Amino acid sequence: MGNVRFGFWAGIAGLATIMIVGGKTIWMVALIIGLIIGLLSANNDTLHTPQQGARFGAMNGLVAGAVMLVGQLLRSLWIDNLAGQPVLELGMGAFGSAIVAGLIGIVLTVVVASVLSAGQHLSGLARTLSVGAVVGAFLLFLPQIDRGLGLAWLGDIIPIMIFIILALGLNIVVGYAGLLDLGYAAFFAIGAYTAGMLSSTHLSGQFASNFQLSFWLVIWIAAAAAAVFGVILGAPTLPLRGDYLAIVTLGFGEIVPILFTNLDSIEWIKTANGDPLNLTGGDPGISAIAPPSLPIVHSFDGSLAMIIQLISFVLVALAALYLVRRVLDEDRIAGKSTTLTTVVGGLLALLLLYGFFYGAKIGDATLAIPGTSGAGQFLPTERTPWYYLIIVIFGFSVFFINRLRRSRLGRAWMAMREDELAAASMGIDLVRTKLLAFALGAMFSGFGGAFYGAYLGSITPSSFQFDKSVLILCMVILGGLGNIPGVILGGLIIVSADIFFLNRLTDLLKQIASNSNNTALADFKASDYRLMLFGIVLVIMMLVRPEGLVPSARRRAELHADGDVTKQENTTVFDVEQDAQLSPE
Amino acid sequence: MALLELKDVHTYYGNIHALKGISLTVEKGEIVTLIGSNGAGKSTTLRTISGITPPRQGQVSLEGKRIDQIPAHKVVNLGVLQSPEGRRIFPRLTVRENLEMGAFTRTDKDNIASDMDRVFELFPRLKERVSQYGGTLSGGEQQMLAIGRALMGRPKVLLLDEPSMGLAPVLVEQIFNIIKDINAQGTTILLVEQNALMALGIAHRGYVLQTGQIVLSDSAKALSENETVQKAYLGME
Repeated sequence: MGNVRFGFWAGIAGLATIMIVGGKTIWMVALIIGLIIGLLSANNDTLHTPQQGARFGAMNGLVAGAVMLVGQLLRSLWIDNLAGQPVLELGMGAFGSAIVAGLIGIVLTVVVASVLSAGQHLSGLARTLSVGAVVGAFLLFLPQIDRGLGLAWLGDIIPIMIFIILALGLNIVVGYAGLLDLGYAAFFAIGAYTAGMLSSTHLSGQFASNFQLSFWLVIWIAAAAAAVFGVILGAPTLPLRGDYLAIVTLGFGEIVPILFTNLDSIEWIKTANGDPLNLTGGDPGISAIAPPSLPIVHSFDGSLAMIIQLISFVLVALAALYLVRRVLDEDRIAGKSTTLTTVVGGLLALLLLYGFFYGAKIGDATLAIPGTSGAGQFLPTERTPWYYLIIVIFGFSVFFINRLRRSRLGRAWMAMREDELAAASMGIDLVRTKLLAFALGAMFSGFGGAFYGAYLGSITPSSFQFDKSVLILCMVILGGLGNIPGVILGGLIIVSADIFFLNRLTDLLKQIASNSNNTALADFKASDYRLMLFGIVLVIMMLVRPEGLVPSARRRAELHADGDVTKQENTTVFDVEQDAQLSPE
Repeated sequence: MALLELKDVHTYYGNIHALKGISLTVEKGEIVTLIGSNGAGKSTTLRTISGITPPRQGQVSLEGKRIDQIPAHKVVNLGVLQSPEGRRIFPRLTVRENLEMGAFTRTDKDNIASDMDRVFELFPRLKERVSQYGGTLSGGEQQMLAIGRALMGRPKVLLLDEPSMGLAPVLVEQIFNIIKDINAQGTTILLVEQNALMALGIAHRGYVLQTGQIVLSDSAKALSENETVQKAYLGME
């Protein structure tokens, strides 16, 4: 019956998490593993009916849950003792508690996985609604679950989400358009610095002003700035392909953080005191970036600032509406209605305007939004509003990119990736198509960058080095080039390994060391080995599963060609790429 | 007025002078073939017409309007479609998606559907493999797909570059019969071939290319009876 290999490996990941983190982790992990099994069941071609889906989810959930039960036992009976940590106590001793916790975990995994996989194999609206309800409910209540279980994971989940959004953006460039970009962190930096300059007093302060723009406006400006730089940096690469393109983007990726480091003393622009302009803050970067606040506009310096903000909000709303229509209106071949996208764009615009007038009316009056200050400002110490904000940005990105993939432009990217010359012969404007890939890909790093700056409150050039570009590229490749669920999973795995698991493992080893007075262990820092582990994982992946964890059907077809392909007379999957472009025929 | 006309066209690859003053015409409803040996400039001529390798000198005009300064993707809009050398189908797109790409510039959805039916009538094999990836097709099927894809753009003139390349003789015959049918249904065709015998068999007129120049032009029948052509390209003594 069915293939439960997937459930087994998901369970192993859960087991590792439970053993490293401990406490009531198992229930959260059970929910997450259930969700992952359910979501990825959509990629399984052997499932056709909701019943088959439910059975697949239940079987895999059961296997994963059983593996996690073993993890809970190991944690409760062995590691908890080593670390001298309190065991998970449900009032029936360590063993009994572990068994009960594990059984609850199995039930959670099975229920979530089977309901979600069943929903995945419904059709049309029923599918959207059921999958949306399960995933939506989880995302909505995640902060409450997190608090209830005493995990405090939100601080890690937020940066994971930021990087997933970046990976989704890079996926447009690399996965859809097939342009290998090794300097993507440059656009992340441009987004973050645009936001930093506009929503802190770093620049305006030098001109004796306290001009600061609201986050809600700045996030669009940052996205637009990143997109513009996407075009500017993309333009010189137009005639290049493959390796050459990669090297040029690598160069850009190096230049941008260096520029941001060095643009801290521009002689030919003088500030109010006659000093050279400090544009980017140099090595220490920009700090005191204003957090977002609800209501969207909360205070004014005077009527002029109010008018400026009003005009900018209208402009931004119109621009957003135009963008949504313009880009998504292109799916005439697919026959998709554009009504939905127009409605979404319209609502977005209305929301912005509403936020403006609402804010204008109540000014600095107290508004009871949990986790924000009296004036509605997001607090750096309270993660919940940040979490919801990044979920909204994430949801928007997934929706937008998914529509984009199926649009006319998405098809043009696909054709261009397959064969540029043939694409041009089909009437595809290669220049426009490539530049749009760079621009739209960069746009999402603009969103991510603006959020990143506001969330941390300060940005430094060292956050945007080459290693970030590689990290983001690895997420895209590990998960599965060109496939949105794959990229999300890849991002989840890589970033959580990087900022979550290794840190928790270091903590755990420290506890074990202090409990057993083992000095060798006390000096061991698991996070020092991140790059090595990373390298090993990538090498293994490329050897075993080069198409990524959750490949798009196309890549799977290419890299795991079955017998029926080779049996055909003179099959030529690749000889079409043997292109004698520059030599006369 | 000729549908397609080249006047004294010179095309270069870098410093290499590939076409040295080509002039030719294609009338509406004709099959015209360009024959010649390797490196004679046959494919370059097609690339020049379709705008992929623009000429440095000379004129290319379609229905009397110059198209030699227009970028390749816009030439497609004007009705010049190419089935390129080496077929160049999209290997990781399905047969249906490949055909849809051929109609990329068109927005008349209903006609696209009926054009696709017409392609399936011409090539029933493609219909059987409609959801298979292009890269998994055999050479002959890929050639059919490449021609079908070009037809999806509703060409005024269809440029076919070596449709016989790498195919078994039986398949070559089949493909050439279909080319004849396509022409009979009203599509003008400019056919580049190394297989001169087959090409002259279905063409109305022909041009013989040698090192970037046209050395002979005549009706297909006359060319196939010409002694030089027989010796050089038809393998007859």
